[in-house]
Amino acid sequence: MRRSFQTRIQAILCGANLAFMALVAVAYLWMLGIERAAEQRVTLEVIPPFFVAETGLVLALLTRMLRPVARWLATDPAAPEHDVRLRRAVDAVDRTPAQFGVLFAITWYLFPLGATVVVLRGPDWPPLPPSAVTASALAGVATFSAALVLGGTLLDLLLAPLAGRLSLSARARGLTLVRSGPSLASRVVVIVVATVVAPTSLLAAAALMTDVRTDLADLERRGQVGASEMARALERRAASGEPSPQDLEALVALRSTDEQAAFVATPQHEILHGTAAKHLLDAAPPLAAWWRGAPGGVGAFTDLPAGTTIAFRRVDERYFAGVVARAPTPSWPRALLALIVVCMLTLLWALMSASVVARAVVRPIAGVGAAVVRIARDVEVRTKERVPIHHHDETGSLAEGVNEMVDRTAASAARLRDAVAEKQRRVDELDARCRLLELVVDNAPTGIVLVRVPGFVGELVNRSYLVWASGRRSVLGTPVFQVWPEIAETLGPILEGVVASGQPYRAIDQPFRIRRGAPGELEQAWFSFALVPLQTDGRVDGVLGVGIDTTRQVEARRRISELAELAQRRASELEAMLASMLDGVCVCDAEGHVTVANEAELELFAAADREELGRLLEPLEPPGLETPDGRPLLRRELALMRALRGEIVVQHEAVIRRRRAARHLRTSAAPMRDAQGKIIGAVSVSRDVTEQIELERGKEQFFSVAAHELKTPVTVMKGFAEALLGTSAALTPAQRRMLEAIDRGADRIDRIVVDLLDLSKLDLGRLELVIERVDLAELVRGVAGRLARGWPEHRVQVRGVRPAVVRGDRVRLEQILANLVDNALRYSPEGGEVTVTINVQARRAVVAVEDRGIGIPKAQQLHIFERFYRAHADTPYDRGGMGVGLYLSRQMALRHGGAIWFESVEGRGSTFYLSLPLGEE
Amino acid sequence: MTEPAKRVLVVEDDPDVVTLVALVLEDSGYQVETAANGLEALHSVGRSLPNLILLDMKMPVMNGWEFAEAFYERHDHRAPIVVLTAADDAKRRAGEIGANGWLGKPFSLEALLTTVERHARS
Repeated sequence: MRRSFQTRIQAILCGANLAFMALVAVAYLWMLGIERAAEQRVTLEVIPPFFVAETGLVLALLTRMLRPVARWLATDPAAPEHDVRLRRAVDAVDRTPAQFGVLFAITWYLFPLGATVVVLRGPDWPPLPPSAVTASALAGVATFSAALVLGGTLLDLLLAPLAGRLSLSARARGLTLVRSGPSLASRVVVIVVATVVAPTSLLAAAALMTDVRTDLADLERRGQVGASEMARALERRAASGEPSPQDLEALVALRSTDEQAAFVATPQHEILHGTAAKHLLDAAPPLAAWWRGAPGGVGAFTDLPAGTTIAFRRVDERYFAGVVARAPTPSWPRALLALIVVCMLTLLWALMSASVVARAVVRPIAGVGAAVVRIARDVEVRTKERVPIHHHDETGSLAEGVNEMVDRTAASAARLRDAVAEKQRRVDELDARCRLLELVVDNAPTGIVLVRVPGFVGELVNRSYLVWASGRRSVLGTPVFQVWPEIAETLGPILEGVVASGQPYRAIDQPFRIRRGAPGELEQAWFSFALVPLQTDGRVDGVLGVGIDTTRQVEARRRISELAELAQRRASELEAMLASMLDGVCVCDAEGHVTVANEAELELFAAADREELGRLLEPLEPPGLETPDGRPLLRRELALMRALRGEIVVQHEAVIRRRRAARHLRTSAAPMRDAQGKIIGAVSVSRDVTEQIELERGKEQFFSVAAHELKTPVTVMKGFAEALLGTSAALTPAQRRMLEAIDRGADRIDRIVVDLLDLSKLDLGRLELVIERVDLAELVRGVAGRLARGWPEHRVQVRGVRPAVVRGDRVRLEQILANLVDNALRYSPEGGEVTVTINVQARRAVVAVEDRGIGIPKAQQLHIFERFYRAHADTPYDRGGMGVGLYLSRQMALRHGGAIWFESVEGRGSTFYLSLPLGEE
Repeated sequence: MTEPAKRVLVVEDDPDVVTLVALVLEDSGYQVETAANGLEALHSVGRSLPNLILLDMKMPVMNGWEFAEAFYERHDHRAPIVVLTAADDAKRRAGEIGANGWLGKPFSLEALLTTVERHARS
């Protein structure tokens, strides 16, 4: 932008300068009347170097002058130095045209002077008269004036848009500019004067030179022609012999006219001439010396002020023949033509200057006028209506004033606009608020009624009021107690009181008897309400009633208090119940703080009250609490805490040693959850099982001792019987049967003892399993084989897969299988087949023991796994036993993660199934 | 029968059991010595070591555990011990005292003979 701006100005100025140069050169040549081609060439040769030097100088100075503008153009509007640069640019734009005009003019003033100097130094030119110097000075004045107007105006035009832009920018930034350019008046004066001076001085110069030029041309030409003719005549005369002085005189007389005096110089240095030439020759310099020295014998001398020229030619080496010519009278038609041309040019020049002046004056005023019209016409005045200022002169001040007016008007218009918008916004806001309030009033859950004083006539009601008043006539425009006659007695005086005192009245749950449904029937109702007096000019003229029907709340409160009473009663019952419970009950909240603990619980923990119990259970290792194996019981292991984590704890055992001997606690606990299933606490029930445990221990010891004490005699009995049977061959069959009976009896006692021991272990939870990998198939075959030997009339068949490896206690599994197979054999009195099948399905091994025996009656099927239950007791099939075999088998199967079940049809046989999870591969 | 009869020490407080075991073993060619409790047994082994000790666990004066401890202390494992007990976990008991074998009461005579034959040292 900066470059284009400068380049454009430079290019245009260059072009204008070139044209001006051409014009000036032509004018100059014309003015000096330089017509000979050689002289013209010499003159014109001066022009190119001058043009280059002048243009370079001018442009360099211009660039320097406009540097602030270029800087401003390159400055970011947001930069801090922008305003300073803007001011400098304005200053530069203001001053530059005038300064440049002067500068331009000065350089052009130098041109004619320079050219004249060159011309004066021309080689063999006739000397210029002093008037030529004056003329050339005048020509300098002419070019100065013309260049002044041309340079100043042109730059003015070129810079005008930029000046406008600068002025708008300055105004937009609120900068006040100091007027720095020349005034309009001075510019007009300069232009007008220059307009007049330029052609005038050119004409004056031309006029000065006209005489010189015409004389010079003619004189020399005529002088040369006259001299040549004289020389030729003399040569012709001398060719026919030595001319006599008479001949020469005649020749001179013959050649002399009014305008020309001929002369001849003889070898004797006599000059023969006519009388007419005498004064001319007298005025000439000493001729004899001059022409003798003239080279080639040819010469001329022109004396412009005198208006004469002397031309001569040497003839026949001895004579000189010449003429003295006098200047003729000027050629009027030619001068007239030149005058006309100059006048036309002058007129053109004057028109141009006038248009520049008009432009300088009219354009800003027209801009201002248009702006004023726009301002007057438009309601909306914007700052874009500002007039660009091209000169900071009188018109600039005018435009500045208009711009100020624009700004102020725009500002006040903007203020007005804002004020109107603000007012509209407030109105809208109020309107919205009003609508909102109406909406609030109408939809408020409280009933609202506005009544006016004389007669309490209804003026405004909302929807909630309409709910109360359903089935009644409208209260609007009607005295309120006509619509609500039943409350006139109670509410009437209150309303009167509000009007009289001007004080609001407020009531909470005030009882009324009102009609809600069928006419005539009054219901009890309660209302909470406020009656607010409305005042106009200090007089109460209305009452605003705002209220809610609290009937339901009042009734609900009553019900709640009844319920609370009931709950209180229940709570005391519960408390009494808890207090009378033998088991300790403890409840904690979600954080684990004890909230309820009954007497028994406090007793168990030897705590004085609930707080002490809470403190006791607080530490990570509550003091005095142990696990049954004597390790300290951690807080998180407490049944209550485990329940709080969502676990249902059954029969958790702990030992407490607090201020007395160790007590065994058995505690069950469960989490308490709210409706969403979130745990809100836990409850535990603890029982002191110290005695029970001691009893169990005694029982266990008893069984252990009893078993030992029983087994020893059995060993003896069995041993001797066996020894006798085995060692003596001399037994009678009767003796042998007796010994065998003793042996079987001992076996039975042994089995009973073993069963009882197992039973006791199961009950005490001390049945320990030695878990290992066991091939069930192999185990089944072993058991079946062993038992089959005791029942020779039965056939035991084993089928199915092998191996079927499970994890379990080999002895116990064998015991189960033996029991099942033994039963199958025992209850097949007819003999026959017992089939044992082993299957593997769904990661379980299933052993099926099938017999074709007596089966189990339907009625007994439900009970056969109960302990001491004997299905066939008191029947022909009673095979004795304790009735614990199947019970033990099932319990042990369960302990293995297995199951036992059966299918049976009475009289057809039974199939018992044992299923166990397969051991990992 | 050129080789000398193997000696079996039966440590048992019940005289009937002692009689039975002695009868059966002697019948099979063993030389049987008896002790009514651990202390007597200690005296007995002090005189000469048997080829096998059949040891009851529950005895007055000195029971099987105490005897086993004292015996191993004095004689190391120079005579095998087979536990003879009425407890149903005879195997575990045998393990407890580091015995070589076990026999649960009541036992069949065949089992008794088999066990003794297997464990008795020559």
